[in-house]
Amino acid sequence: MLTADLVTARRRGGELRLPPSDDARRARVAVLAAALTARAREEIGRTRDDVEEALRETAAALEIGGAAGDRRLAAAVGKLVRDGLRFEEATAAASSELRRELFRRAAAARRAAGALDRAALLGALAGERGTTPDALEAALYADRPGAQRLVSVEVLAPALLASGFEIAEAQAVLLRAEKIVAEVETREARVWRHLFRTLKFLRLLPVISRQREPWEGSRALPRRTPLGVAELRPRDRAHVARYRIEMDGPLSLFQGAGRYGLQLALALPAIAACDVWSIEADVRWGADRRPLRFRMGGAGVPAPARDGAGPDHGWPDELATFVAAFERAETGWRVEHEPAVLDLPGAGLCVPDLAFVRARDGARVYFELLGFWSREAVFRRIDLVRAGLPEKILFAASKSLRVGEALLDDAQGAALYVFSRVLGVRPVLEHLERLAG
Amino acid sequence: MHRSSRPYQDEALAAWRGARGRGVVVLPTGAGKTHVACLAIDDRRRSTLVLAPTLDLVRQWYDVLRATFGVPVGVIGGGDYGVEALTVSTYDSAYLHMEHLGDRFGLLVFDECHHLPGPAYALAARAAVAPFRLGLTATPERADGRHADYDALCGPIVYRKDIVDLSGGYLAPYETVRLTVELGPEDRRAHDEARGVYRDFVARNGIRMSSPSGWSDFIIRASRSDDGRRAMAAYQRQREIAFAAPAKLEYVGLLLDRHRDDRLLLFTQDNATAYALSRRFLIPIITHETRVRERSEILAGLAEGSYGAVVTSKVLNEGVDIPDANVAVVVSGSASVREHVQRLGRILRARAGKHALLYELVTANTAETFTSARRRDHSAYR
Repeated sequence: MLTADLVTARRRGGELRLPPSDDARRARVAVLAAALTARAREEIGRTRDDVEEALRETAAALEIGGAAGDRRLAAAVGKLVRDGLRFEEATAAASSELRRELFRRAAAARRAAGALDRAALLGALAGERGTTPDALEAALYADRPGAQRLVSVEVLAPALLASGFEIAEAQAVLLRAEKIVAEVETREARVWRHLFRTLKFLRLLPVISRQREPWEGSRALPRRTPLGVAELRPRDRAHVARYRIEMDGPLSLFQGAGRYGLQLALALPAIAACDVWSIEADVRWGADRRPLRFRMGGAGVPAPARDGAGPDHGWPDELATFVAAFERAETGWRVEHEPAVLDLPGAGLCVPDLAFVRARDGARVYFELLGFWSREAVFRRIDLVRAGLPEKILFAASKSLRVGEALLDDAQGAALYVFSRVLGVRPVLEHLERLAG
Repeated sequence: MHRSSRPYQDEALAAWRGARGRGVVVLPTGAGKTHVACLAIDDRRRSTLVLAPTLDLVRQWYDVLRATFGVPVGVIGGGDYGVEALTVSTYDSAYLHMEHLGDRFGLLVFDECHHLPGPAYALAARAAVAPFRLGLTATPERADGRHADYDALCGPIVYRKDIVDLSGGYLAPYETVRLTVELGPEDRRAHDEARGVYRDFVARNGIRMSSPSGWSDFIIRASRSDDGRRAMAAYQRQREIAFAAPAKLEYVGLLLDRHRDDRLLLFTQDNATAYALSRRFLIPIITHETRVRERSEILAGLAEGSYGAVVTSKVLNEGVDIPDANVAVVVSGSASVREHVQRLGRILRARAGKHALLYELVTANTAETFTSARRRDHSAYR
């Protein structure tokens, strides 16, 4: 993941713009990525300090004659390559314990004898531990990040990294966003289902609404093919769905802004996988945090799978644990894992995580686990209920959001369950029975 | 508030009050700046936000405010977001959240306020509406001249006492010793050769290193050719030789033996030298890589005496309270007056019978001679 300081963005009036992603730039990124990845592969087995030195050397050789923008581009590609380097696990506890023991003995010896006999001290400790002084020396700072050894290089192929570079830069811009509005259009149900599941998995709690009118430009809605982008056939147009997705930006939150920003950035590749997409974000950019508008869009931009666009996400851990526990218990309810999307025209869309169906009468209650970033998003769900959501639904929200179950006390067919640490089978069951009647 | 104040702390409060509750108080490390802030908070009785540059300092402020006022204290930063009438925050977190916090406090306390004139932190100060503001620092002057911004951000300097004013009374008496070491013949040859390559490049490219843009000009030119890269490597090589001259390291060994019953802090300019010293003399090291738990254990060990010395590069330069340390050895450092004064400040907290001693090791006939002269340009070293 890139950071904001590695992005070559320019201000134009009230807008923040990325450099045009033309063939020349993509080629430059691919050259940098290929050279750095190859050099990293040569360094397998060496320490992080050595690898860093080697990568710096390679980047410097590639940068010669370049302007400041080139240096930033090289640094950005270097970051993406470094993200794919895997180092051995540190043995912090053993090294830390050794230092404590050795340094305390050294201080005591110096105080007692007036000077330190280093070799004698190391020899004595090595003897006690059944090892050699050299082995102790090697273990002394083995937990330093710089001493860890490179075990593998898992970097995307240069061409793939280059084709997803613009998305990587946009991800870094979104780390500075206050609000994001995305519009996506796709004819393939599996694409938007994947998108919604990704947003759910990342716990972003978006406000989603289905747009009834197609975009002006959707007549030219392209269809992705293995060879590129082609026009959509007229008969496919009938199946086009278009959604508007509003999300809070990290800078609008009181806490957890860093982690939320990362989650938000991970959603971008899933958005960019739609046939036609655009995002508009209000960002605060630069040291003076100037408010700017960032726009981006495209048609089915292929994005690096490693950053979250590819395989379908499952549930978040807390939900998977809960479902397993619920299905083990004798409840008289069955769990549907992929329930329908609930669409309330004019009010918005609700994407439940589950539906519960009572075995004896088929009564159905939807269930949505709300994220833990923003209280505002909870209130938006409540607005949806008050606008007349016809299906019965149970929302679950973490206590850390400081909301009370009483918020939906007067609602027909909807309830709010506030949990403290984990979702409990019994309280959920009680809510389900009450809602199903 | 039950603790009695020292006369200069009362004077500082009176001066700040006289300036309508806006201004900077300059006191040396160990002179009790925190207590002045507590007096100011008690005096104004307004909701207060204290801003500090590091999480270590946030923790120290939290403890002091809880103990002094006996009320809940909010913390913002390091994963916490709790706002109370008395709240402590890092500058970074306050900058991120000032839009939500700016109208909630009547008094802002800027600890180590020499950080305040940076563009991001200054924005946080400007976004706040607090009518009362107190800046605290031992070293108000900034190399970039932006200390002139104090007036607008938190008020002018309203009270100042330097180390020489308080030494021997409220601060430990101290002595500074500058030790010059010589390079061996091989190192001298390597140093002069590397310096020659660097100086030649600078001269050929017409770069004036004494001008404000000299350093950035050098970096830009150096990145554009093989010659430039060689010059940059040579520049770094001659610095490394000067910073970690073998004779310096020998001297560190002598000082560790001579002061074996004291508590020593060894400062270096770079981590590589700090690790070399730690490994060679088997003394604990604190760098930015040191985990919090080990760092606490090292500082506690130094206080109780199970360690006699700790080596560090820059992370202990500022703020952290190490009252038991009485000897500092500056093995290498930058030309910054502020850094050098802050390093001296680490050993000046008064203790009965304490006499502090700062050694500065300088390699003769290298750029370090000039660097040393620049950083000693302060009353504490005259």
